[in-house]
Amino acid sequence: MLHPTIKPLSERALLISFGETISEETHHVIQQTVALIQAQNLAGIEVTSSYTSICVYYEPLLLKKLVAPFFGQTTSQKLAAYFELVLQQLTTKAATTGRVIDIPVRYGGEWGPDLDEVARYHKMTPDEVIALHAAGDYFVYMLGFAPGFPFLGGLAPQIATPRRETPRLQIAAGSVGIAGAQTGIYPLATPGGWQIIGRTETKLFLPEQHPPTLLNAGDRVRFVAVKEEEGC
Amino acid sequence: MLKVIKPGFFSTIQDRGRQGYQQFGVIVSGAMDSIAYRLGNALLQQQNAAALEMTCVGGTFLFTQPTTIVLTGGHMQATIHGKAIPMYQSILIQAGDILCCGAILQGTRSYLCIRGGFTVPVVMNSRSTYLRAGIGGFEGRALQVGDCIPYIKTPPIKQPLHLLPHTFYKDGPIRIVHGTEWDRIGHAMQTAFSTNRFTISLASDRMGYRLLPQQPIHVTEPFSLLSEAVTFGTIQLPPNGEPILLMADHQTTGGYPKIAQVIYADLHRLAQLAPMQTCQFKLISLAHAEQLDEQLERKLRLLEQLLIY
Repeated sequence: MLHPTIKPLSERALLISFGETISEETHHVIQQTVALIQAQNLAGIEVTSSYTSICVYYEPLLLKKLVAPFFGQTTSQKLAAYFELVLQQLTTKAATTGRVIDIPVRYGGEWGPDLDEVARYHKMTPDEVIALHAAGDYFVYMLGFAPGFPFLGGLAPQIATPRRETPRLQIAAGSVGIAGAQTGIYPLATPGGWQIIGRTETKLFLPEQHPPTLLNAGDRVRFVAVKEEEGC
Repeated sequence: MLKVIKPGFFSTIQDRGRQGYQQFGVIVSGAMDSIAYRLGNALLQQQNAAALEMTCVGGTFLFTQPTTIVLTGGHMQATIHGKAIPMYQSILIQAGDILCCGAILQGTRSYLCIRGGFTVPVVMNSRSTYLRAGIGGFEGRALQVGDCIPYIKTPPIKQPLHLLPHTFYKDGPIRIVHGTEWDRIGHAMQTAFSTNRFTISLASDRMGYRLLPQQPIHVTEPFSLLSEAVTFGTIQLPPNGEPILLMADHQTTGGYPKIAQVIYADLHRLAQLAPMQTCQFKLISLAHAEQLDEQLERKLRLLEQLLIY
């Protein structure tokens, strides 16, 4: 069982870290931990998770009484001790299977202006790049960087490609790209240096809905190549 | 409603920010100077109502309906029909009044708080403007000439209220605590950072301030982290040796080393720093930072209690 370290990010935030390795196992422990913390129903907290850590943002005045019995000079230390106790409830139970979300993508052409470059870089044909990308079974480790932006694991190493030397000033929302060993989808139009190989019309950020994102940490994503004429 | 005759240099609708959505990659945003924002609302006997945040130069606005307003934050010369308006005091507004705000003479950001708040649509529990996503606030953007910002009719406050804010804004270094990667950067870098003077670069905005060190910082062994949580006031050190100080519109995660964290009790002072201004930092213990946070928070709550109830 992974033993987390707990350290302060600030006087109002604690980081609970589970090592430095990205793996689905670590992810499941993290998701279990998030659920455990939320089950404590602490007033005024907000919990986020990343590849290997959880951040609990809190209001010290709201938790002072609760953590008073715990050892520590500061509320921060006492709260860390409180969480250490809570985390003792972590079990090795199997992870629940997440959802699988299919994302239809138009690869290449005006939708994927860097597809040819990625193919050239790997001495493959564009169709081979598409086949490798669309065959992947991707895991959503976390959301961050932009609203609804998924940090996906599982890109085939054969098509891992460095970022563009000159970033683009504007990448269209829905663009599917590769940057190093990562692949992802831009939920918003932003500048960026990713190699853009395709585009989807599927909306990743849905501010009017709850939750406001299509994807969540723990989901699996598959990219489905669609032809120009078909809907996307 | 509030008709925008001149928008000012950069004005957006903000409240206390979007709570509970960082796990979706949705930023918190909200007022850069949360103390000025809270004091303005308290003087109008309310909490968390949406206000207008002005930057560097204020705007000119026509009120179509009577209301009550308060100006807080950096000192700004403001007039209504040529008559000077004091800051930190509730002001009765008649239909047709035109508020002319000038340059912000001390500090950088000022707030126009209004009784009942600006009633723009709520998006994900908040009226704060999320500029990058183009949502929230007024149409997800900074104000432009001709914009009409809604507010509701409210009964006037029986007695005008005012307060002196200077105890909340002291001069001196910005106080920080160690960041999560402080120990990893080594003694030389720690000294290079903590003894330096920094100029706030022009490439600074609501997302973050780029700090230009007067004594260059050479990052001899750059490293990055897996993306993880950051917060308002986090100071990151990228490989180019120019620290980034994250502000209200910071992204939810980051991969640069977090070498320091501005204490909660000094975050509002950051909002009043201007590009080209210099600043220094002073390291204090987390215990001390917590005490200062608690003192400040209790003081604000007491004030809010006294004014509102």
